[in-house]
Amino acid sequence: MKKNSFFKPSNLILFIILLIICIMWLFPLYYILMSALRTDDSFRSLTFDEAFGFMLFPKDATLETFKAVWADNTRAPVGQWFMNSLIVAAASTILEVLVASMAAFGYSRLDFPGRKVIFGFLMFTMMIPGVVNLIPQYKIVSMLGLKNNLLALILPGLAGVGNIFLIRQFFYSIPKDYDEAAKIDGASSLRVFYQILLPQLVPVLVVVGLNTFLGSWNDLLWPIIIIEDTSKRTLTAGLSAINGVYDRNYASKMAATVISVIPVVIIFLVAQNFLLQGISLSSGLKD
Amino acid sequence: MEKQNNFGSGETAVAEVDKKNNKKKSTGKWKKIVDPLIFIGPHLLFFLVFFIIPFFFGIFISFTKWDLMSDIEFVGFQNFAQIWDIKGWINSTNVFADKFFSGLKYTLYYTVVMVPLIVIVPLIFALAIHKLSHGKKFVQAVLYIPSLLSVATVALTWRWLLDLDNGVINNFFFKDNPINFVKDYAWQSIFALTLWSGVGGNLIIFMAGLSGIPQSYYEAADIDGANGWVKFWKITLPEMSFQLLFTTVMGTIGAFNVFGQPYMFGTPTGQKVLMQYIQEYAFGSSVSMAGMASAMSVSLGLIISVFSVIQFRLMRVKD
Repeated sequence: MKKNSFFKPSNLILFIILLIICIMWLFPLYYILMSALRTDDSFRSLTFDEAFGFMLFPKDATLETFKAVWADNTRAPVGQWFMNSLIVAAASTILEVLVASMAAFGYSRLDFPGRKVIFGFLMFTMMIPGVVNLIPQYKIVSMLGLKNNLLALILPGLAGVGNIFLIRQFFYSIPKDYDEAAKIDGASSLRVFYQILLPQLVPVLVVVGLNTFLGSWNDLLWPIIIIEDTSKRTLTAGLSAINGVYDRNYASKMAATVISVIPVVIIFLVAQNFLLQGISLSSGLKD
Repeated sequence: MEKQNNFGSGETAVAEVDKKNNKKKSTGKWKKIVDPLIFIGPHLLFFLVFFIIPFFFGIFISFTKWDLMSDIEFVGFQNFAQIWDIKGWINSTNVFADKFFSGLKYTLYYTVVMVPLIVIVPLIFALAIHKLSHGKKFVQAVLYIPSLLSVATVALTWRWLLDLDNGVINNFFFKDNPINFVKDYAWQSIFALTLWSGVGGNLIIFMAGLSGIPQSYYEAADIDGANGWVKFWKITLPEMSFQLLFTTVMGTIGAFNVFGQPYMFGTPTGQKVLMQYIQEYAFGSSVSMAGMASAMSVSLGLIISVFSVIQFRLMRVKD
């Protein structure tokens, strides 16, 4: 069935339609890349037909615009923003994986008074919409002296409950025999956690880590509220002001945009399977 | 994920293990308190400071007049009375009600258009891809890539595609009468870019759902002589009901919180969504009206919580 069915007319038409859709979906990304490989001046000098030719055969492609945008550290310090984003996203990821997996261990493997009540309460708070917290969080973070500090973009995210829930579910799939045996041998909870259980949690921790990284990298509203210094911005927040900075310098604007895409595409290429698994995991669906 | 199938079997085992430990360890008493605190303590601290306190504080602020700096003045339900002043909104005599209802209107508009789109389009794509004999993974991956990008990136990309003077869409299709998308078709453009970046996630959920439907159902239907349409309505849709409900509820919650798309792409004057007014009132360039903004937040939060309750129920089913 496999080999021949591909050439059935109905399958071929379906394939062509989906191929067109795929091209439509990739085209915007290709287009911004091609725009960024030009110079700002070329948008004033080239006619559309010439520019269109460039898109098909980018023979005068140049990285000059990228270099200029990256090096500019006055109006739109894209390089600085990129590093800020990287620091914030990496720190958020490491801390969230650590904090959430420890909490999940506590709620699934340890027995203490009020365990069920506390976890039930945490679950319950997932119903509370985050929008109510925005303004008071601003005040609290300011009072902690963290305004215009990258920590303001890292710490509040650690309050989340969703990842604990996710990891806790995963804990239940690991047989108790392992930690039971270790405990009888006199291992402390901490040892059981990081030596025996943590290695087995890797798949779910990668999913949590990826989601945290992407969420942090792409966050817009909170960074534009809490960070006012231009140099302390994240790239996503910085891009929100880039229209004003580069206005009609299209190549520069698109170079900045493409720079924001690069880490995300790298993550996609490296961890594609984990990302797709992560969606099934967090939506509670079986593969 | 094979491992997920064992969920739920652990609860009783936990209790058993812990009972055994208690017998073995003489220092059990204090360890029972300190040990768990090491693990759940860090999270609980962040949870308290950045979730519980802000939540109650936020509700309190909505009953006050406050600029985020000077003293808080308690005003009772005054803010709520101002923004829910339907008469003042209709007669345009109350600027707060005007902004609130206008913001709510455009948030609803976005939600009502976007939620069906973001469920139905990926469903159609998933059905089509599922039929492919080759390249399923490839198509799925391509459609998924844009959903990894930030709103800022997506909006800048689309503004450039749709640019009036130099945009590729205008130059290619509307060379003689270029269309000012940002001015005349802002919402349609926002729907398009949100669809472009939003299809991928739901597509993967639906693909997983489709591959979970036993082939024997369709074979039995074939024997009964059912056509494709009947099979879709009688087998595919009912079997996918969880996925459909999940994506609809999550999509609705996301849509009510919409901020980035209109903020970044731009909408005509007076056509902002509620989150934009909340952001402006609380953190805009003029003196902060945090109390009024909080009252708007609480009102929006109440609407969203209806859907959060459904989401909560869905998660509980899976726990």
